[in-house]
Amino acid sequence: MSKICDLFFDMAAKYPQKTAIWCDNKTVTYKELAALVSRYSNFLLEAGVGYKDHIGFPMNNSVESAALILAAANLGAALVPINPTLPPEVIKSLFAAADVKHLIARKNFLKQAEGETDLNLNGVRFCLDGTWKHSRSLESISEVSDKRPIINQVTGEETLIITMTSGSTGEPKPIDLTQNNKFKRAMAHIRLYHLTEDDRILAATPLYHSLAERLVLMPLLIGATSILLPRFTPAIWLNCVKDQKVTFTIAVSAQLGQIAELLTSPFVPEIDSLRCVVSSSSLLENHVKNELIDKLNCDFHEMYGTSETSTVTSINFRETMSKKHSVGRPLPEAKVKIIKEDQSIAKPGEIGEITCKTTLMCNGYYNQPEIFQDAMHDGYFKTGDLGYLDDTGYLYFAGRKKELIITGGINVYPQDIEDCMKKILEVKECAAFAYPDNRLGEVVALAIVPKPDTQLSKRRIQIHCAKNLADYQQPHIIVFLDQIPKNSLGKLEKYNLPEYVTKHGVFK
Amino acid sequence: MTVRDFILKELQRKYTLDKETDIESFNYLESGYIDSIGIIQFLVSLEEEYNIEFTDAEIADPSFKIVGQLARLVERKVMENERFKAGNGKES
Repeated sequence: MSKICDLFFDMAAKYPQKTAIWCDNKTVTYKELAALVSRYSNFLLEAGVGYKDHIGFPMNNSVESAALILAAANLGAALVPINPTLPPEVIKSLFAAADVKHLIARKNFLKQAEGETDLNLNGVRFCLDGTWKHSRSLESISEVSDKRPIINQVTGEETLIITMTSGSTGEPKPIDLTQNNKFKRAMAHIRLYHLTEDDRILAATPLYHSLAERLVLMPLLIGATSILLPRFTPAIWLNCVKDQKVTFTIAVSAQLGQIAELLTSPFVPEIDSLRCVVSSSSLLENHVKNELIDKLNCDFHEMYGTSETSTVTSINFRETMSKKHSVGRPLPEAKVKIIKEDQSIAKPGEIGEITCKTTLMCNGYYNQPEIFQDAMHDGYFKTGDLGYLDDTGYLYFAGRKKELIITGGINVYPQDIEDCMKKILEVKECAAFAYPDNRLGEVVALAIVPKPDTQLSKRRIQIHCAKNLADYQQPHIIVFLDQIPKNSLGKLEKYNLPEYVTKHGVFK
Repeated sequence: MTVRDFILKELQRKYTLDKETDIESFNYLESGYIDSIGIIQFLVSLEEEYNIEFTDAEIADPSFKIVGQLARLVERKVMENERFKAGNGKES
């Protein structure tokens, strides 16, 4: 199998003057990007980053981040990308779970991290944008050789990215993605959407999530152009698509909902470059889809998948006419089985847990093989989602088995928020749950039962969350209850909570 | 640290602002430096740092999105707080 970095350097040799990446009004050609990847590789190597070393990286969307992914692949090292707004304690626990040795960060992060929590790293620190004490600067490396160092040990089996499914202080599950995983996933999507070197592929989600990583790698492996959007608003997105003549993108449904809303205004630019838009994360309502297709003049696909399995099913707009609410048919790489409570296979139309076997499967949870094994059933990954297949093999999503909040396309684990709340002594009981929201699809809501005769204000909870949780985990709704509804077996009924809090909650 | 510096620090948690940016008139929401996901943490951090509370009307006002005007709003609220405390002090 080809290796990611070899393929990228082949493209750089083939299209030296072509734009490889556009980001924030800055463009780099393939030749310039290849030189940057080589310089980073040489610099990291000389500084002591070894084969299979893990590098923590509070990442943002930039040319430098994309180049560092390729440099890590070149060296056979792994990146552990994280959201830079995570609290230091959480970062520490994530880095520990992923055996992070080195750190690459912006000056801002290094400055902030200093004096807070010791991240317990025994490797080298690199400052991306300038100089900072006890760090090697990655900014002034023009003197470093731009000759690509070849590491003979690299086979493609090495871990390239460790991505976290949970930002908790509790049990982070580090998903291990090897170079081959990333390569196979990129190639599967290139085939699925017929991408070519003529495409201009937009990534508008954070690079510390695997969706954007794939969207950046895909063009760089086929000689196409990557358009990397650093920050998202619907207006920025539309202008970028127009100005940069974007032909293809995958966006999360919450973004597309906001874009569709903006498209109803009379002052939007006319878009004529888009060939295909793919929606991921959750199904879009039909009126949103129609608005997008009508105004963006392009083909439209939806997909279903998880971080562990990559895309499992895909459906295009024409199919959705006859298969309303379906998330599509499995990719050629994937097989789907629906498993009932008694572990038997469901018949068409019967709801059960969606399980998937795929050649795009991740390499497991890093250092947690037994937990990954528990998530498998007969070679199939248990997604934690409920659904059914019809008699023609189309998959329908019917809800989530595991309690999960998806806000703006980002997974939030209620347990993480509840664990954080338990540190407030006045909290007797609490439950974090999904509350419907027009902009973000869902937002985090929090129901609190305070201990008797205690004073607990919404403000105190907000401040505690602001300090101890990441930006996407912040509760948008906080309600106080006398009790949290439970079923006859004493089990918390989270699905009833949005309705229950509207009736009984006190919005303090 | 001035109010403006604190706001700038919070705005730059993910991206460094361009040196050329006119901070005074900078709209941090339209430019995506703070998005719908990050807004709550941004607000609460400001409220916590300066021990103030924004009203819904203040948050809804278009001037709230502009760094210079937001900084002045915070400074005004801090002064009001201090005056209020001083006033209470005299009475007791």
